[in-house]
Amino acid sequence: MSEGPHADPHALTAAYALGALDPAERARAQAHLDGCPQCTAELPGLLETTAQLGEAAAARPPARLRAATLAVVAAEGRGRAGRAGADAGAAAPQPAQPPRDASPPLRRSRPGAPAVWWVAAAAAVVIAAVLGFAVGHRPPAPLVAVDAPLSAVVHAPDVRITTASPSPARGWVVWSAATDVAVYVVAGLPPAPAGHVYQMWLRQPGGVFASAGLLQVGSGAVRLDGSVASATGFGLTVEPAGGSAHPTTTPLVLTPLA
Amino acid sequence: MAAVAAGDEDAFAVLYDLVSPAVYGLALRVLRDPAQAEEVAQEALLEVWRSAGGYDATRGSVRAWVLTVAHRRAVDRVRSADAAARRDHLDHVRDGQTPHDEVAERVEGQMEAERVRRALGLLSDRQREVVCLAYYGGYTQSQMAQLLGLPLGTVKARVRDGLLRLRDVLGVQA
Repeated sequence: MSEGPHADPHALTAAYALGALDPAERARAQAHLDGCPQCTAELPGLLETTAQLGEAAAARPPARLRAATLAVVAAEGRGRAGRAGADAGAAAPQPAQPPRDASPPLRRSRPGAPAVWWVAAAAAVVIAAVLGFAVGHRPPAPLVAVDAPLSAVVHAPDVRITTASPSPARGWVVWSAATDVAVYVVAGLPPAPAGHVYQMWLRQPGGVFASAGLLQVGSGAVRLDGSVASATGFGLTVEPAGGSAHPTTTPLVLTPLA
Repeated sequence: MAAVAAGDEDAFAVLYDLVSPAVYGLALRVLRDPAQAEEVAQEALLEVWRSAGGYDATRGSVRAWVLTVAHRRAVDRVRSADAAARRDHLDHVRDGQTPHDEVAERVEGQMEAERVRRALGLLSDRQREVVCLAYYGGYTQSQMAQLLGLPLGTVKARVRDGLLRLRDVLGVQA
């Protein structure tokens, strides 16, 4: 193998994904990637591999890190609200790119792009994490192949996500009023007591709870029945087998959708 | 407008809860210092937040992108550190094992850690060494060549072969 700077640039992709390049080599690899479909196609799988190395090092961060980070985000979010529109996906013209070296390959910075981008990203990670969990820690297949409503809601321009965790399980509601699709994503819910089921509810204006279907899985993603466009809240209860017309027990979780 | 911003922050909080253990744990593994790991983790998470609109789903998962940002910040920091201090941690880094003083903090993702540990065990010793030195130690290929007394071309070949092998044994789609 030649060692010259322009020798076999394809060979840089693995080292790039592994973060084993110095800044000059990194810039060269990035320039090559931008023009090489072969390496660009190889990159996601390699980055997924190194991400699993990172995941394997996971450790509990100090609680103050969460508070400090979210405080900055809240302050900047307030500033952003004054500037950014609410439409997602509108490809804003791309102003000056950040210096190439500061920018990972997947990043295409669009300052001023709608803030709602975040929501889709969080929804995608939640769903991928939970589906990955559900199939035994294998990397999840592309969402579109798994479940069309999930894919649709994640890509909806007005997608929203909120935490709705029935302790000790973790749960999230991902929804879009425009497409009128809502999905409940849950991880680690124990089986319902014998003769009982978990039932999901959407609270409609006036405070009426309409059944959104039975939750048959302890870990996974389920589309809610009924209209979410007008709903003001989501709830989860334990009901007798077969479900109930109205909630008959105290909700395990009750979350506003607004 | 306020509602949009609030929803945005809620979503970031969800994302924080999902990715922060990996971001912080990776920074801790690379930097071997909780205070620095905390700083780097916060920098990385805020970089992710600030690059709104910056993620391209066709080029990989959100999680992989976030960890790429975090890893880059961690290695930039460790490469600016004292070389002798880095070498003290070589033995930890070389085989991809969890350092003893981190075991107590590793409360999440233990199945994932075990799965990756087993996958690393399927690499040759030479491949595992360069993959772990690069990813967990922050060494460049040139630095590894010097450290291991090997030609650069040999290190490059091991890095590529090792990462491709790891991808395959982890079952990641090529």
